[in-house]
Amino acid sequence: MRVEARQPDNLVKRMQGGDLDAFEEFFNTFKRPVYATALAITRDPFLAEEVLQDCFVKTYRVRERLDPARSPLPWLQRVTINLCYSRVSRRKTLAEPITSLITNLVVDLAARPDQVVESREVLEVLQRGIDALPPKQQTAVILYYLHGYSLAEAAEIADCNVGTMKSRLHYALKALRVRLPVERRIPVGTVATVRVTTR
Amino acid sequence: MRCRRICRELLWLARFGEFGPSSAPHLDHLAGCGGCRDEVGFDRALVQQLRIALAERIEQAAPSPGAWGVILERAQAPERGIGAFLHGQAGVLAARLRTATAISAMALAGIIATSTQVAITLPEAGSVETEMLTSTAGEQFERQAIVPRARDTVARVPVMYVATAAPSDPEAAFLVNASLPGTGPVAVTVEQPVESDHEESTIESTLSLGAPVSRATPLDPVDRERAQVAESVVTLVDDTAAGEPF
Repeated sequence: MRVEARQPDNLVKRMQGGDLDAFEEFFNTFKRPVYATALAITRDPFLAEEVLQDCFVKTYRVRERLDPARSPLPWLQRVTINLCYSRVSRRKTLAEPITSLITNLVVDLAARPDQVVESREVLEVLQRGIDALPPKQQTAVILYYLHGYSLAEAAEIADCNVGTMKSRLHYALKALRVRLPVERRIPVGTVATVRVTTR
Repeated sequence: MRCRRICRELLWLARFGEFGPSSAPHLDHLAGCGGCRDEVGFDRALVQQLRIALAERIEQAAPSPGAWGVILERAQAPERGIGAFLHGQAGVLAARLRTATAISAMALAGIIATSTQVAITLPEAGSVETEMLTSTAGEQFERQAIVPRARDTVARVPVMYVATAAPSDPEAAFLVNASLPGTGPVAVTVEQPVESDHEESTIESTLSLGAPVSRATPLDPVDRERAQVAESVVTLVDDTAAGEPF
């Protein structure tokens, strides 16, 4: 899923001039990717909204430092990620995610019951695996697989180079793969022979 | 190349979509190796499930409609700089100090009014505090370096015993003088009475301890003859006690 957030012309310049309408337009343009990042990291809608508010208030206060020639989205995402992890570490433990509770209750009725259970189980394992990832790998996964940023864009947001971003993604997938049960590692529709890979 | 290495490189290429002309050997291997196909296929399925799991996290997620109002209000509020922060903290500190001072003054006034005796208790001997204290002091003493010091070179002042008042009794004066060190003449300081214009003076008297003084007096010339007779018969013996005044 790629969240498009194109910057309207002169939006930052107008905002730098103190135009509150421009600031509102700026907020409406970038609120979804910022909120999505916050929610993906925190898994708590209330905490994500707090992060969203902090992020845009901070943006307005430092609007003079924004570069009108560049998209502010990478900077916004970086601020959001930093705010999220500072808040999550302050809270120490993540609250029970409401979204996952709802997802558990609402299942895809079109699918077969056994497939639903199997898929649900894998998704639960993956959700727990994502939560257990180190912050840098979690950020890489969210930016690359959730927002659909390119490696270069994700690396710019995470303030690292492309090779580092690849490495983080590689180790994140490796960690998630280990979490899955062995019998789940065989994708549906492939050969029936079970092969356990030793690494 | 070994299968495991090819598989690892295939996973890397597939994850980041970096297949190119140089990937032909890998693709050839993939076509003939079922194990590598399983690995790559599983990795693709894992990524697909991961995308679904991530999308679930933000499913129908949107900030509340009131978020903009809060943001606008906070953005327009005067920013609290470091000066304002310190000013606010100073006010809080001053208020706390005022409260603490008032409480202390009230407590002191209460103590004075009720004449309550305040006993400052020290930690009891053998308690944990004193044990820690003594052990720390002992350790510090043991760690001190031993530095030799020169002996005290200050000359000692001889002690002189001086009687502040002369005993009224001559016999007592004699006993005092006899008990003082030395055998020669002893200086005795006698305080003069106040009536001598408040001037202090010292009277030195010398006591000679010599032969006992005889009470014998020259004979009467009238009885000289009788005395001469008696002198040949009677030997005069002085029975006066030594030192007794006459």
